[in-house]
Amino acid sequence: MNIERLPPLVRNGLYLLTIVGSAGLCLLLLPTRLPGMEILGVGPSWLVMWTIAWSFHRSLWHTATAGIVLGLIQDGMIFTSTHPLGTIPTHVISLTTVGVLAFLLQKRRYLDDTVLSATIAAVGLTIVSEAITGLQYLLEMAIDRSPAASLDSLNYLWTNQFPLTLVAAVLSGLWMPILYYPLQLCWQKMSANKLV
Amino acid sequence: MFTLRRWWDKNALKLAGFGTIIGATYLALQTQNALVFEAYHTLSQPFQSQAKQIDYLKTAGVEQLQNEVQELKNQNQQLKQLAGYSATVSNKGILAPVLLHSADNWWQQVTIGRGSADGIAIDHIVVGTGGVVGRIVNVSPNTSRVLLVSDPSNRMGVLISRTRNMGILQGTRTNQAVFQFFDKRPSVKIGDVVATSAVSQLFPAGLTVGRVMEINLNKSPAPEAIVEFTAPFNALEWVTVHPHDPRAVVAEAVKPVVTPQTPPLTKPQTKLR
Repeated sequence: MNIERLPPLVRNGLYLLTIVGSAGLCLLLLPTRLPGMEILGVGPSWLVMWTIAWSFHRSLWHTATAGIVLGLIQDGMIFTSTHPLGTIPTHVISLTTVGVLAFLLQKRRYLDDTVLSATIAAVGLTIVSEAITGLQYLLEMAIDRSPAASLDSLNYLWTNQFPLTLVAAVLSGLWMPILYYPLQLCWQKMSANKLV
Repeated sequence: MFTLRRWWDKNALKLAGFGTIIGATYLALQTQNALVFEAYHTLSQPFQSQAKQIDYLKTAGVEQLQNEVQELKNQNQQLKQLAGYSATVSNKGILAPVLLHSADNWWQQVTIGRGSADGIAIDHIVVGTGGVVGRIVNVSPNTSRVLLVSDPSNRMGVLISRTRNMGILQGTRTNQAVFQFFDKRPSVKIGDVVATSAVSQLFPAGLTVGRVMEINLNKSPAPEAIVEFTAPFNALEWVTVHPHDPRAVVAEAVKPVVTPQTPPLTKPQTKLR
């Protein structure tokens, strides 16, 4: 099927479908722990992986928006209170930072758009996003109770939560090629033909 | 000022476009934040198996034992009523399959496949085979989210079944939890059963929680014990949801005592039919 022969509305519709479909698939996979996709009850960080895949060859606006939107949806999936200003800790900050960092690294040519560099970015940026969530917890502790309590928390997080972060990073790196390669082919084809 | 005007001319359309997307997501989440779970429920419908609880009751021996158990339960209920003891958990619960786990590595939640359409509401208790699993925190028409007792935000009032020493149990994101005693010298042994106490409002009293694995009486500010949950958190498949109203617990405690009064003497009126 030759994409160039289709009318522009259908082409743009297909493009939108790939975006929403792949992001939706990542959202649906996020809470699953299918055998083979989980270690110690931890799964890959699909949204971090999708944000990295999205950040290649796109402007800062696009990546930041993707981070904010996906962060909002992930917050809705986890938190129970519907405070209008959001929750603490929020995934908006961590995913937006991941998107911005991926964009900057690509801008400075530390990353190119091969599968290998996307995988390395996935491993590193998963650790960054979990670190930001941990920092939010520590800040909340320091403000609510005391800095000493937050240091206790830091000790607990370092011994108990950090191994899970590493496991999540390893899993994200293992599954990134499967997510990234088809998306990269799809979007490269659509942009190479100057369709979108 | 001029640079601001130039920036606005260049980027106003982009700002409007992306702002619309972000705003639309925000609004959609404020009204229906269980979209993803409902979508998962719809997509996984062909893969969900219906529990056939009746299948394994086929043998006559098992049926006979079930009858005996039912008889003993009835007797127990009558004795409780005679003694003025109020039932804490009804026997009938809604059986639900565990569909999904948490969308995060920080919160301990599971999503089950029954929702408000089956009568589940927030604060209902979720029990697995062996002990209490958690409580419902979010409900959508076909799914609900359970906050597990292993989550660190969960602090429940518990006691040692054998000696009735009370304390607070706090989760540690694993299948073990920390039990902080109220007394300075509690009497506790390894292997003691831990159950919910009347102090906890979120959970009814008398539910099995776990077993004591380690004891550390020298910890300050309070002696601690490590409790392992009896419910299998690593292999949760089917759970039962029991209704529970935490406000009823408080209301029961503060119910005003009714003093009997002599009714006013009136002539009984007979109605002509």
